[in-house]
Amino acid sequence: MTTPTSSTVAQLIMSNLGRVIKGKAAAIRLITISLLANGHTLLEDVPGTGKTTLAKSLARSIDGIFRRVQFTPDLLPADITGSSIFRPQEGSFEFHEGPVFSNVLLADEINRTSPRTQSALLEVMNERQVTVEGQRRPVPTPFFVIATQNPSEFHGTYPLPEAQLDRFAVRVTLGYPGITDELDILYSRNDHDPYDDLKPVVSCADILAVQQAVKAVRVERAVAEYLLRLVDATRQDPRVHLPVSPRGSLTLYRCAQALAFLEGRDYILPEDVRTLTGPVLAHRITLDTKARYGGVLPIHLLEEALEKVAVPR
Amino acid sequence: MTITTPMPDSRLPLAITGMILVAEIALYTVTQSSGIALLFGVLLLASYTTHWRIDSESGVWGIRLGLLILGITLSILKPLPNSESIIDIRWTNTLGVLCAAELLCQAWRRQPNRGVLLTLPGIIFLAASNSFDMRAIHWWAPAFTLCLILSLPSYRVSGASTLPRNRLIGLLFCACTLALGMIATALIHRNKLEIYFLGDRLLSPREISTTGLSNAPSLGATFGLRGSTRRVLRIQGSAQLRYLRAMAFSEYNNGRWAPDGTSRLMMPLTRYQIQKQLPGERLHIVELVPTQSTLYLPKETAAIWTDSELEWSPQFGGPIRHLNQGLATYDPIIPDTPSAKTILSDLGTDEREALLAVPVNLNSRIRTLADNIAPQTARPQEKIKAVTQYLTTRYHYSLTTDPGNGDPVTNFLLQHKSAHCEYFASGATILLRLLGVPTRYVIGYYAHEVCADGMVVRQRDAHAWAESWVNGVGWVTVDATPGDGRPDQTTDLRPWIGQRLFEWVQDQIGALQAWVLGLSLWQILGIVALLVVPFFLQRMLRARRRRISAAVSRGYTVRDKELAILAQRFTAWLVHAGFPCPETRPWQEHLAQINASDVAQAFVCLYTPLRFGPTCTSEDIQALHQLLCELERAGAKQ
Repeated sequence: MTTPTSSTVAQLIMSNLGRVIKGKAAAIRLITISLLANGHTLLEDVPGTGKTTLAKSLARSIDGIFRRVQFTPDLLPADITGSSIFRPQEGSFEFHEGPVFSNVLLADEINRTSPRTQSALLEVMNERQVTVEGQRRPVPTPFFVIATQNPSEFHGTYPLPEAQLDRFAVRVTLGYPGITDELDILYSRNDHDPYDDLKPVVSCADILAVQQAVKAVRVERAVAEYLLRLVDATRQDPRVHLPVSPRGSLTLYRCAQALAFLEGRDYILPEDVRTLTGPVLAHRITLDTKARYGGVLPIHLLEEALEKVAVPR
Repeated sequence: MTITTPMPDSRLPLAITGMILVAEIALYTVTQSSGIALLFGVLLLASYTTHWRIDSESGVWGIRLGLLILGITLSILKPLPNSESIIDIRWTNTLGVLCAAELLCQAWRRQPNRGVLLTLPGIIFLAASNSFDMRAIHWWAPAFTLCLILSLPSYRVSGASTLPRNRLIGLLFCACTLALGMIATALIHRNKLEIYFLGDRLLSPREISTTGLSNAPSLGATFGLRGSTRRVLRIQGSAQLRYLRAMAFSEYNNGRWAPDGTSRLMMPLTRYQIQKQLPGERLHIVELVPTQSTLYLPKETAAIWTDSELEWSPQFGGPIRHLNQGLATYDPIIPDTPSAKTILSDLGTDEREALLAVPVNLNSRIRTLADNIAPQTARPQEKIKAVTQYLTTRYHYSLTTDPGNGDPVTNFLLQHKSAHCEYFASGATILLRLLGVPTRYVIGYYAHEVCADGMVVRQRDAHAWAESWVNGVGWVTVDATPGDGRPDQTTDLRPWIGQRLFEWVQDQIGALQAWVLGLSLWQILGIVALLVVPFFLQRMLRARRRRISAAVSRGYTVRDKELAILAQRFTAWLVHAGFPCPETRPWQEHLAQINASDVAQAFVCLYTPLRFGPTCTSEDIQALHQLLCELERAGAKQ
């Protein structure tokens, strides 16, 4: 594997993913943006749309430590973060690292476990460390969580707490493929799974370098103010119970930088902010009861905000 | 959706330009002005030679200031001929020049104000119509009207048309407009005399009659001047009760007084004759309303200081009328002591005879009455005192009386014994003449109302009295009206507070007017500069601040103001093309929706990295500017 330049890292990842996931270029792009922005991704969709496959493909594309956790109702927090085990021979406790000590963590069906277990990811997703028995243990870098879940209306699911949702950079919905793409899926899996042919295309160092390069993308003050005006619109809306937090603003800021970097620019545009507003902010907004039962969705509020806030020129 | 509407020129439409030029030529022709209006017209035509326009509002205000100063200076420095005009031609010429300057300013703006373009040419033409010589207007009026009609489509609101699309209906509309105009012109021409007189009555100040009497006053049943509180004169420098004489009359005949028929010369007086340096009290009398050019002077006046030309009548012993068109001011001087000439002089034979004459058919009972009042041997002063006492104690004052049949004075003295001051004055005159004292009938004002800086005389202070000549003393005032009939007794001393307030405002305006009229040309220019220049500078600075703050609020740094200007131009171009971009939509997205031209997309593609990227050079700005100019010239047709 030759060392790719910063500008080609994202292209390599996206093309690698495209060999397995057909017809989902936008979703692949969003996940890549989230990765470059050093954020985490939540894949939410109905069963069987390829969420786990996509997450596994992304993990395999990176030459790093990959761990998978299948969230079940009986999962405990220690099963995620790790725990200390007593060794009678030494007479001491030895810490066994949990799955979070990896570069890519696939949290499959994250909403099938209890909120207690879900909250075990809070610290590590935000701070890249776990605190076990009073001792802080950093996780490897880069650290990337891809979580999958079915929509909360499905049986046997626990909705993620707002604090957890806020820690995901983007929420991606795959949706059903088109006929052409699904036909391609059928034939490409005729005799073997394309996932088996996937090889790592980038290393963790490449990812880190790209993440560092993304931070250097210029953000004009007017665009930053535009971003904040959009966020502020959610805070001023009376239908919103829990608006976008400053973490959300920062995440949108970073993702816009990543998008600009992806397109080969060293500056962001208002269009970048507009493109990412829905995927980055929608899952962070909690509506009040009346709005929810009125059929209003967070994405509707964001679309209204985009129509109300003036674009800098 | 493709843009097919061509980008309109930044130049003014041809019809509007023609209308402006016609109006300016008419102004030049009629007023024979310095041609500054024509100069502005030439500069307006020059705007057709380039597409460059003033973008910044501060620049527009600066140009406006420069044109204002230029226009006022050139139109003031060149004196206008004294051509006949309806109102002062200097005002209308200046108005026309200012309007021409503003139109020139609008022609060089990026987005001219349509309301200004519509109204100001009409005002210029109206200014050009300020002349009795209609020949020039007859030539230019049709041309102006034609240009106005042709320019109407230019004023339509975007997206709507004020003229019918159907050509036949449009032609019919124009024909009806022309016909209505011709009918109106014919009607005005036919009734021009009536219109002129109406305007003259409206424009000319109404003059009041002096004390209600004419050159040959007659004794009437009522004295109708007592009610009006309108101010007539202001006297500064004195707070003393005094009689102000307007006219004196000597000949009486059956209720009518007339001046002596022997001579009534009116000779102009030179300043040398009247402006003498004399020790004494100097009054300053100011006319507040036109008083038929009559002077109101105390009888002791020995000299007058005034800028007005005066007429003098030997009959009345001094100047009685000024020759000013407007209001006059004059300073009579009352010597501390009568001059020796006054003391030693005597009436001439003819004059004495005239002042002793009584009507031939005077009732003999009047003679008897006079003899009963005072003996013929008494001294003149005693006779005067006796007559005055007799009339004031035995007769009553009334604003109305019955003149009766025959001689009104006889009826008053013998029968009614109740009348107003005219009758008392006339009666005293007749009685004193019968007693051998030369006396004349005098009308004027009785000044009694004291104000802040002197006295004020109102219409209601009109009065009539007599003056008797006493050798060695001079003219002696004989007021035989009972005390309750004098103006200071029969009227409220001061009018109500509303009127006083109104008069105070009038005085301030009058003082300001007098001060302004007394200023020299350079003083006026200096004051105008002090008032106008800061205003224009403030507008320039405010426009500049607004532009910078708008740029900063959009995230521009001050050094990126060139980009801000280009952005404004591009936004304006989109509006002109009929596809305004909403503020919430990026240009790239908008151009993609409307399928804009390659030039427009090239502009946005070049502009975007300069705006949001790290670098922005002057060459990039120049390239943007060229693209934008090409865009504005070529239009947005795909």
